[in-house]
Amino acid sequence: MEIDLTPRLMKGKIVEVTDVGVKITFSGRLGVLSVPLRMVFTDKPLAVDDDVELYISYIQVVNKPKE
Amino acid sequence: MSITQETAAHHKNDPAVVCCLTEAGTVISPADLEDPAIFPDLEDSGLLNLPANVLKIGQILGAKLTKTIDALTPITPDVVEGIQAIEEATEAAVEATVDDEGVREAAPVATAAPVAQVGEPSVVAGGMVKIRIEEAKGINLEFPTVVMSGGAPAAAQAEAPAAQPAGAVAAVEAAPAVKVEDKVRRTLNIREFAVKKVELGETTSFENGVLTIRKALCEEALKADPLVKKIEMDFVTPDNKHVYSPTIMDCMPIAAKVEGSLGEGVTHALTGVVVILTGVDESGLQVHEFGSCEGHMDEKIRYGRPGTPDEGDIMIRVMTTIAAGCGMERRGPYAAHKVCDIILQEVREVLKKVPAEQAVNTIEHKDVTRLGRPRVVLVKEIMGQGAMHDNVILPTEPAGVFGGRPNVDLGNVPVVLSPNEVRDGGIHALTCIGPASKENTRHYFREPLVSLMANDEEINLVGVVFVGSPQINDEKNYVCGRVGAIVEALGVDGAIVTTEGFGNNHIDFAGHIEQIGKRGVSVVGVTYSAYQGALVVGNKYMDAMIDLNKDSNGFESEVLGDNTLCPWDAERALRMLKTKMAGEEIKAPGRKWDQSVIEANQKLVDAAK
Repeated sequence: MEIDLTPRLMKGKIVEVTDVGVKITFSGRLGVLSVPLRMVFTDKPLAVDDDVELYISYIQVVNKPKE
Repeated sequence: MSITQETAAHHKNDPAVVCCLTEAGTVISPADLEDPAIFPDLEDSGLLNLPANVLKIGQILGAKLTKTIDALTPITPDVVEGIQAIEEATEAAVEATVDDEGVREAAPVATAAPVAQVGEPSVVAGGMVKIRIEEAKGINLEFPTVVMSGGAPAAAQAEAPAAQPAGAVAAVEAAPAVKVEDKVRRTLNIREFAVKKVELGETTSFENGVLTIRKALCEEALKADPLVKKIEMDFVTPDNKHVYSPTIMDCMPIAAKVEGSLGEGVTHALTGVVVILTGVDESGLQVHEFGSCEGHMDEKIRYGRPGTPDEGDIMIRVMTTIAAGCGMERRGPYAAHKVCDIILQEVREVLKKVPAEQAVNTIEHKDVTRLGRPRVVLVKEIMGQGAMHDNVILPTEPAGVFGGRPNVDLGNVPVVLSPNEVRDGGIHALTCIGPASKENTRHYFREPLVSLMANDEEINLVGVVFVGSPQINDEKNYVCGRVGAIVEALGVDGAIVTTEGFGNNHIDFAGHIEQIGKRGVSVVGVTYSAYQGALVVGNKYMDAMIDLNKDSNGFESEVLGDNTLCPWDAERALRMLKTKMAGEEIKAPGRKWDQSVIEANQKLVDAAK
């Protein structure tokens, strides 16, 4: 089935900061994302509870069903 | 939205489309036209369809509309009268021609034509030839294609016009002949010793091509840092690479300083062997969790890249296990690099004593000041966000750790190295993410762009600037400003800026280019970008860019070293810089990544060899 995977602006919060990356939770309890520091753009030192936003779409599995 | 006179002039060869409802009888001016820069977006959204017979902006300025047309309607010959002929641009080339209009400034530097279009090597004149002709007719200026490699002085010649019309003023100002001379600042000899076999033994030795490493070293090296809980060592031979490996934290050469300090004197280096540092933590988490490339070594390594093992290399694997959770802290990866360096230092001490006559090859590197050639600088942006996003600058031993200073501790400010210092292992990389784009320590030991620029007799490479990429935007602005100040102080004519990987480092990558470009210095940018790493910011100085992508889909391929700077990329970058310094036009790229552009440029550069 063809799904519209248009990304939409989502909001979230930083819940963990390390020397390597950050972990964020999406608002609405829609999951957790862990990314390296260089994926994050910031004007201030990163801290827990910082609000973030990003575009993300639904996720579609692309493997073909096994016959 | 209407455009300005300046924008219209810039886009004179682009399609003319009215921005608003325009009445019949209107004499078309830039204010009536839409900005061609947004045409691709308008076409994508279906708001604009450009017919084949659409007129160019240069053809319709001043022409009269014969029919009222809606906004975003392309102007075609059937709705306008008084179409103008477009004056063809005179190319800034070796031979400059002044037309009847007479007011034109020739290329500031007499050089060869663009990379993409000329088969001959680019030639850059030693002096600056400035020509300004206020008004003239029938003038032919001829310049010799001065090649510097022979050491002959660059003598710019200008042939005066045979006949000048009355009242014409021609002022030809040629710089005095520039002294062309090579001054060797320092020499580095790297003696290479071939390794045929590596084994563990009771003592560390190197005899008859057999490198023996003391078994007990791994245990002893643990004392160097309590964060490292376990070290194992084994050897992966070229005929048996289908071996599972934890993530590769680094690939490094074994080299030792015999005489002098880094960048000069004598270095001994082993060939046919590299060191692979791997790391997991006690809970089994890969140290480079985000940039890890654990897996079978025959599949997860792109062999033969500057920073990776060659096909025939024996890989000495130093496999570390660090304290649980420390892989996400700066001290964890650094501890792994330190203990590995302790092990290698014993090998280095043996290597220093190997008689010179056993060397299979000696490479001579020279830091040369090429007087009379354009001054250029290479700016290498290295990672500085912390943890493994760090590099040790100028260790005591080639490609070592101890004695060096991490760029994060230096505040990521730019540090200048000589080309020889780089080629003598002046950078030990803690290697950032991801696997395909990270520049390992071995990459710097045989950095292709440094070598190409250092050996090119048409340019004068004044140094290599290493600048860290911090996390926060204000800090990025700070280090960009310092790069600009250094470049200004160096008084260079051209610069190449490279970066490693993608993400927020592209902010300061763009910033460095802007700081350099706004000082009137020709600048070329080199990065992996393609699809996944598309640039997030830009500026008007980023008009000459080299993409390092090698993946057919434009992704970070998760194969170690895959998308790093290779010798052929270096050739494109340098040719691009020479083209830009020559004042030649560099065509704008398409809106989206297209590997065929890279391949086409490569073919042109290869054909010009």
